[in-house]
Amino acid sequence: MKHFASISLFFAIVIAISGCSSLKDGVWLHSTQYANGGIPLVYNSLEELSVFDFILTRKGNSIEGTVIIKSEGDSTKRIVMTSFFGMTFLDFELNGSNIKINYCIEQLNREKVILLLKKDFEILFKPDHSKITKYTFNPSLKITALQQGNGITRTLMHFNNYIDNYPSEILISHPLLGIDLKMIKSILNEN
Amino acid sequence: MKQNYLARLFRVLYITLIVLVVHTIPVWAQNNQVMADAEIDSFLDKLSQRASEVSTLSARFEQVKKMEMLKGDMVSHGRFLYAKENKVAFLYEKPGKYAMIMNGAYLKMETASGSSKMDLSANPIMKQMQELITAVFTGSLNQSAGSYDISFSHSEEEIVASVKPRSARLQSIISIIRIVFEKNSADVKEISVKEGSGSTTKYRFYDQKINQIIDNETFRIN
Repeated sequence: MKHFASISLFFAIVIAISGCSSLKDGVWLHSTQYANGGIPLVYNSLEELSVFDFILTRKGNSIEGTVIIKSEGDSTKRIVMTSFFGMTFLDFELNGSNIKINYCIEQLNREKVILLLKKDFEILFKPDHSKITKYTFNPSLKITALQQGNGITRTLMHFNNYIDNYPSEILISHPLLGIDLKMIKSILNEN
Repeated sequence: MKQNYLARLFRVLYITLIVLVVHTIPVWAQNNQVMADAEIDSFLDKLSQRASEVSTLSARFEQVKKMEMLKGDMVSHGRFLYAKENKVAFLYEKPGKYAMIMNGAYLKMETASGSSKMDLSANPIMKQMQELITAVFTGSLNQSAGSYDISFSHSEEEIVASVKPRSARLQSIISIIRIVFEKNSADVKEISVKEGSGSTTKYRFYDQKINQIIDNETFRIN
């Protein structure tokens, strides 16, 4: 009985926490007009190269840098994350549900971490990647937020400052993991 | 577990940043000749002498990152400051304002989201890095031989130190660092860092001014 009470309390806490930061006013995909396709996009795949400044935060620790996304062919995207100071720490390619790691520093090279990032970018490139997704829209029917998954890997995304039909600010959160990835559209300072 | 991975990632990023910063020089492949031992000794003496005469150094720098996936290079500009004994600051101005400051055993990063501090001595690898940084700026490069394989070559106008980490772990992040010195003055002209990813970041220093007053607040960590 004592254990039952403890377990019940644990689940009550988990459920309560799970409810935090959720998309309560969101609409499930099957209840939107996009149930059969045509969900508004949040990433412009027509751009050969997109550049974002990013801030990755995990419980007080944060790193910042640049994310470069290159569209290669119809379905492949290459994603490279570097620091402002020049170091590359992740370079991978996504093709549908397939991932190819070109480079990853040792400390990041863990399956769970890679799969989390893979899923984040899959959702970014295809917001109806999973049918079990809730959305909020603005009056122009642009996606302002979405939530996918349940439990510890639940993903919450917010899309702000739309410019030319695409958000220039993207916040990807994993509330129960305490991980946030903020991406702000930038330009490549090339010579 | 994930928290541990990220914490370790953050640590490694700091380490790598230091390495990148420290190895500021290089012209990758030129027709340089390997230096004889006597020439190396002579150059190291010159480097030490110059280091003893320089209490501060300020310069402009250009950071150029080459990536296989990009047609062009990623370019950043800013101001570099050094003060004895072991204070180093990279103050980025374009395309964004951020800074990396090393003061003794501490490293501070300043970015748009705030600043963070790290004790470099808490990690053996970090300690290696700190020693190398100090060696570059104090002219005691030969004392870093325990952790790195360092070879020297020269051309008519330049001397190039190629620094290769002995640690396989470090080598997976940084393959090699090349530091290019101006032959006569022993000024550091350029530092190139070739990463395990294959990308190369080059730091070029220009408009160098020595022994000018630099506000000590610039290097403040807290």
